[in-house]
Amino acid sequence: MSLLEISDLHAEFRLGTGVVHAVNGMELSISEGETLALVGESGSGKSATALSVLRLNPSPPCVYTSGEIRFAGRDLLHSSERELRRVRGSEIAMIFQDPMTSLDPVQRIGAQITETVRRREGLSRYDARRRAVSALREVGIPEPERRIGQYSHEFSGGMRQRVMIAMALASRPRLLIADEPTTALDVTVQAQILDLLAQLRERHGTAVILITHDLGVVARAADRVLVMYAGRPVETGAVDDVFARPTMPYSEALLAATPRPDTPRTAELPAIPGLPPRLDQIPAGCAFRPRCSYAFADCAERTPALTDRGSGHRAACLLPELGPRHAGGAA
Amino acid sequence: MVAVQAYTMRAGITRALRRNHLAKAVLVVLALVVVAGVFAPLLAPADPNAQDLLVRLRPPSWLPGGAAGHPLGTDRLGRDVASRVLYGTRVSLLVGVSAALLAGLIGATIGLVTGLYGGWRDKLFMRIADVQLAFPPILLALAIVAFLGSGLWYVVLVLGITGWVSYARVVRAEVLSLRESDFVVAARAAGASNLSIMRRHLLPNVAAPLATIGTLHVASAILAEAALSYLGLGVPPETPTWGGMLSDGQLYLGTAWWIAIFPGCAIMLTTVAINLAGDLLRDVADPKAYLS
Repeated sequence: MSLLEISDLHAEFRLGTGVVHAVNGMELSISEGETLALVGESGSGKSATALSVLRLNPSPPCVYTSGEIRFAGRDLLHSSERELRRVRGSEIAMIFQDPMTSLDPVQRIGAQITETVRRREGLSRYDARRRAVSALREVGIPEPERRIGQYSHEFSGGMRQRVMIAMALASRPRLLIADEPTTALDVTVQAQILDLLAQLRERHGTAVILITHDLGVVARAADRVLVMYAGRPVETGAVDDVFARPTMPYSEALLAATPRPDTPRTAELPAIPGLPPRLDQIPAGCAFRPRCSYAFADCAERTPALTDRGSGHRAACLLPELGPRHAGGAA
Repeated sequence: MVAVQAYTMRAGITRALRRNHLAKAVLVVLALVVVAGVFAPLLAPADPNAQDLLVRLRPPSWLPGGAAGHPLGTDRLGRDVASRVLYGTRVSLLVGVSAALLAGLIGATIGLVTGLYGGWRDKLFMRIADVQLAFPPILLALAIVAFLGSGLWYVVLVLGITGWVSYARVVRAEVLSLRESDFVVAARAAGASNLSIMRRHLLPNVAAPLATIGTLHVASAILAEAALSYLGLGVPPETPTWGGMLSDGQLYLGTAWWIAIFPGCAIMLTTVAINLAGDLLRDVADPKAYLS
């Protein structure tokens, strides 16, 4: 049975200027201990989906119009705020994109790490301190005894992200949602953070939803991948499968647009023409149609649903398979 | 790695005191005022309420015709002006600090709630604030004193109730930007309730502007207390207050100026010092000023 299962989730932001349909029929499932990567361009609904799981989208303006989010048997979307608070931070934890701003500037690191566990488990000051020290040690921060007394500005970006991970894992969650955890970091630090996440997942069996737009990160860290476009899932499957045989033109184009070491320096990087649709005016039919090189008349009529393409690989495209491929197998 | 000296308010204040002569002067004046208030019974040459009709309206002892033992002269009932000014310090400081604390408590709470929750709470309290600002505060104070009666704690209450708006506005504005910040969302994702977000994350982050407004408010509360006492609406007449002495002394300005001038100087010196302290605190609370 899956740990988290989202089905037919619709979330919209009712702004003064119109209604932005950020999530339109999202579905995903993740099992215990698995890493699922959520990829897509900015504004494709990755973060809105992630925040929906803990109902953290600012509301108003966000309204969840339909759907279900089942976590370990409970429907989170229709839980009370009080029930949700018990899940937040203890069963599902989250880390955010920008470690520079995700820590309270006026609170000491140790206090922030143990805020949740102290509230939950009523730890004494002394035990909380020990817990903070061991949490920092576990994420590889040197001199944790000294570091817990410091403020966030005394940490570098990579160290702060480690602190965020320590905070998230201090209460041993079953699911970790990492919203672009490495985007704001430089490449070497990115690799360290990904390795750290992998280690911790191994050790504690935490399931991870990894949100990213970096396909390199997906190849390196995820078991399965789910590609999003305009608030919908358009392709999902095992990473190797999807990368080797993308069956939705958007995933194919995304893969083709990834620079690789063997790309000649002088060659122009392929890009996807056009822009993603405005989410307050999504066209009928397939949302990717205006940018799709395979589009035909039917695409304007019918919105493709995710259909099975064999061995858990599913894609939302009217074409049974893509024609002459211009994306090679990846990773 | 470069060791960067952590910026803290405490470090900023120490630095300002070391480098800035004005800050030193302000600190000295404030220390004197506090000492005067706290040790008034030891410093005062006489009982502030002891009347001696034989030495009425006598000038300071160092002037011709001065009465011995009355360094700042005597008033129309022969009470010692120096003693009354010293004891008046207690009332002024007590009223100033308590009023600022009360207004700060009310204002910060309302600011946190309206800023974080928004919606009807925000509309309600901000409209109340608008209405209250439309009234002249002294009129409001008059109405409240007329309704409740006069007395030291009523004055505090009046000044607290009339002073919360500026705290609430500043806190609300800060909270509006803080509540969208990543660390507040992160705290929420970690299961923090609104109450603990306010207490652990929002309040500490607005502490610096709160302290600045609070300091400035102490000065204006001292002035307001003096004004109320001058109008006879403050504390009972036998309690020595700076405002009350001004009001007593104005009749004798031409003949016995010392009755009004010395408490007037005390008011001026204290409020100027506190206002300057508030300004300095504001500079210190802004780390950008520190870095430049």
